Amino acid sequence: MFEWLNNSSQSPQTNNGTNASATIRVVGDRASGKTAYMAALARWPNASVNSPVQTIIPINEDGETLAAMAQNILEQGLEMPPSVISDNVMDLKDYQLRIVLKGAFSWRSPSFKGSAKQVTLDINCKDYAGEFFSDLLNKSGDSVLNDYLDDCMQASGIMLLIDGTSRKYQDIASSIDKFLVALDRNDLGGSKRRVALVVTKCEQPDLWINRQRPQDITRAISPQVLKRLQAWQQSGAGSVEYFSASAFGMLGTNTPAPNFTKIRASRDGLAAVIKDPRRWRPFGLVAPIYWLCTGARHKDLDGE
Amino acid sequence: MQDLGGNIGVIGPRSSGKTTYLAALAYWPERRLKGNSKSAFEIESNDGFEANAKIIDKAKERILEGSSFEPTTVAGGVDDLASYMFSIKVKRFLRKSTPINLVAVDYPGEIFNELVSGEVNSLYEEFIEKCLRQDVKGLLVLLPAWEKGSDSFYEQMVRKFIGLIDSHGRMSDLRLAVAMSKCERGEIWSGRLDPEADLFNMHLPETTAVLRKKIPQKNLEFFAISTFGVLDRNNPRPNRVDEIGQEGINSVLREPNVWRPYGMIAPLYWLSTGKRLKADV
Repeated sequence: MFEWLNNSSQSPQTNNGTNASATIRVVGDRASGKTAYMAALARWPNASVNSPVQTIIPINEDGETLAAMAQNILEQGLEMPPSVISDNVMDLKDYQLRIVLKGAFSWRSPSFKGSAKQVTLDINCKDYAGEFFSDLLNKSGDSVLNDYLDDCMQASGIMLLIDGTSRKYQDIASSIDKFLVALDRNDLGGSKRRVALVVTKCEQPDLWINRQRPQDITRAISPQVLKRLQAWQQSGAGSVEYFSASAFGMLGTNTPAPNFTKIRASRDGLAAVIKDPRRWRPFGLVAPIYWLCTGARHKDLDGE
Repeated sequence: MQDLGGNIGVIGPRSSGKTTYLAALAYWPERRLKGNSKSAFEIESNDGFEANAKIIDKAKERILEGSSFEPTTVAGGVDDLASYMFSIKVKRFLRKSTPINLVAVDYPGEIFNELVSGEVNSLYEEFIEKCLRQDVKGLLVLLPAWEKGSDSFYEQMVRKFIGLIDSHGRMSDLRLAVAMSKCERGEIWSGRLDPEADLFNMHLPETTAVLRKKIPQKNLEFFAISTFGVLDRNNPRPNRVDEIGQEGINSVLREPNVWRPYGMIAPLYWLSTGKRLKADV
């Protein structure tokens, strides 16, 4: 069993393709959809034949767990339970996934210009409990929090998830502020850190309609967040790009409708489950990862 | 390809026909007279989306059978606001045109009535915030009354609202499609052909003046809408019967089989694209 796993770990380079990798941390407020994002990514259900993504495979046991969560929770039409913050950051699951993009699509992206080869993205990724995010505001100096921040410093890429349906903009902006300050205290030994801001739950019609303009969505949700990130980028500390994503996706193609059933909605955002698991097809999940790995945007992944 | 669509808010005072308008938009594609439609536009209602499916059911019940829509209230807060998904396109001879996707939100009328009394509570503020958020492309403002006295009420309402547009930083980039609703009424039906001159200048001069003064010209257009339409070109009686019900007047289609709404889609098209076609219908 798992022979392929051994093979792939022995030869991480594909035969004739381009390989890129990243160590990623997924941060964001409670219920911003971090675990659902990762689980949907690991499961990659009902992929379109037009998708630039060929396969997504979990390559360690933690990655397998993610895919299983997708099957056992999301696909059953159940709500993802909140991740509990662990006192020991070493206990956190480290998800390893391999994403293989079809060759024919990669020529369009500037960094792989002229190559019709497959692109393989290897990521290892930890998803922090949302408490981490609010603790940034309320518990500065706390030792557990500091352990997390130290762990976060190891990452070359940060996926900052913002719930597009939440109205706690002020808190989110303040948390992001604290987070960026903490990031700035450690440099990555010369290489620049990448922060992908991802607006989640973009199957919601009012977000979906602007999904191709993620920076505009960010501005609409919170001008302060956008300003703060822009200032951080201008300071030379790292680079920021904006993305829109949905772990649930849409149903239908001509007049697509969001694939969700609402459980409750409030200032804290929307809680929902997948309406039709058999036709579950998330969108926008790979685009930020591609950028975090390569530093280039992928037109077709962005257009998903 | 650039998608021109966007978020659109439908606003206006109580009983201005906002919900009826949206219900009709959702239901119209199912009812339109095949091959006999002179409209320059096509609209698809997204009935895969639950809210659309629900309002289509309501439309059948209300517009055809005549129990009126309950007033849309603020009770559930912004989380309970109904939004609907549509896609519209211009009909072109032998040419495919790109559909424009829209999400339209039905706001409770009381917010706009209360603007005049000056009471803005935090609940109302949440609604205002949502309808003036940066990701809203434009608003369709429905004003139903043309009779004497309505102008000064609308003028106050609009003035207050423009103040809010300003304080939310949207003065330069929010389109306002100001439409007179219920234009099947005999007194104003003929004004539909040039609504700016014959409806707004004529009947609501103060309101029109304050809009023109404050809103940049490129972001302001005037329209005439009739959700019910008239019976026939040669029989311009309203295709609407008003029945007295428990909660006031309920309007029903008089002849459901010749239902021809007027001007429903043109404001949405302009709000999305900034372009106006010669024939609005």
